[in-house]
Amino acid sequence: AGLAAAEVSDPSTTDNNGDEPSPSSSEPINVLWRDKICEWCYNLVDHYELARESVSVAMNIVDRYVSSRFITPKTYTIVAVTAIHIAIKLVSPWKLRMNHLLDLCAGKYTAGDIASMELVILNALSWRVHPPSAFDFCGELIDSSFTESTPDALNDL
Amino acid sequence: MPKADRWSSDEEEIVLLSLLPKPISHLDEGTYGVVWKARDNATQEIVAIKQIKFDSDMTKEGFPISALREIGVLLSLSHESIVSVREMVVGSTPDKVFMVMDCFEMDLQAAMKKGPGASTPFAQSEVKYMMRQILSAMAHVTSIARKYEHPARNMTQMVVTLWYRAPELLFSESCYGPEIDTWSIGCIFGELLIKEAILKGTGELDQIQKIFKLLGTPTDDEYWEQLWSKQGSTFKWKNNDSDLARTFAVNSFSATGQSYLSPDGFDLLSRLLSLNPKKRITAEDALRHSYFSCGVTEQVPMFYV
Repeated sequence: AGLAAAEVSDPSTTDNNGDEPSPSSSEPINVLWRDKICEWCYNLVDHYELARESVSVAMNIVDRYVSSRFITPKTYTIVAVTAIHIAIKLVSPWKLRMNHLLDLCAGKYTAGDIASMELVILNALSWRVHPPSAFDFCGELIDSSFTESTPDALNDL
Repeated sequence: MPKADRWSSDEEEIVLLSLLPKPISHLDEGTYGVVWKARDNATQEIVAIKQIKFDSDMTKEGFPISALREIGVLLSLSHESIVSVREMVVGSTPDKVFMVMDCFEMDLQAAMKKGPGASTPFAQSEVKYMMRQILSAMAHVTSIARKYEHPARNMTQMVVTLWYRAPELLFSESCYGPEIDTWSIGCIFGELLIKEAILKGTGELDQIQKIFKLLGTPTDDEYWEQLWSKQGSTFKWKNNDSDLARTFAVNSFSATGQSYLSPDGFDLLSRLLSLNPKKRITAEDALRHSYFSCGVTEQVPMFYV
């Protein structure tokens, strides 16, 4: 996890470029934040070899949550971190331990913070956290095109 | 039970459901938690409330994976034969999470053992009715459940209760597909006929032996040869012939306490209990089987009313 923390750092602390928004600043959230969060999520799932599909589910959760209420910059990152945590649990065959996730956030949050935020998000979205992803679409497409579809065929795709 | 409560964290304040249904009685203890029977104060309807069971340290990994997935599946299913989740309610503390569901007086097990007419076999028309319900529910699940299949891979061996577990799972095949469920439905079909579980293994090995004893050892079966050679298994299974026809008598009004079974019914049973998962009938095809289109018409079981 130590290595991972170096490679995949918390989006809120990656601030090598002065122009980039950082949640610690008082600036309002802007469009770049979403890109940054998304990239951070992809780095995370790739590093741990989790299902890439988790990221699209996580971003769906983030977007829907953010559009459902007023969000401060401080909340945005914990929403994102919690969203990827939920998404990995839902769609990835392999798990990511909460401890690793906390390490990646450089100790900014406790397990209790994430667990509480998790319920807040689930409630806000009425527990509807299974958006169809591009992966599902491809699966349907393969199924309707070929009679035999195997998990391997899906992975190759 | 928590009362209607507000729960707040730093920046969030949520008004939860104003009226949490009032508990009436304790129904059953499910896999994930206690189930209560309750009245919804707003609508006066009777509902079932399931409290999600948390590990001792729930904050360690957050909301339990299995419950999260189950809720997701149930919320996305909508079928007359599948229990629906009306809503989710969070109580005063984060470890108090409830699923509010439709309430039923009893499950199938209880209906067989304790329902009206429990001492006599089901009429074949009743069995047919229940089988259609189960199969159409399963066909519905299969049609939308793709995304819940692959995450379950790690847990596959644990997912199905031993007596209803397909033979390939017992040989640690890790592919969780709809064939696993149609096997279970075959077991339930047999159980409806004799009002007793048909494969009551005491452990995994015993379960395999019971399966091979009832259905015969798969010899000259491509699937099983491949599986065993892939696993490098040298174990020789005792050669049995299938006992299925002797266990489930066709066209007989015997005194053994079995429901009447037509030849079509027997054919469907043996296709559901096919040892080769690739040859096992799908829920959709089973619904098109002549068992449902020919013979006696279906009838709502006595315990439904």
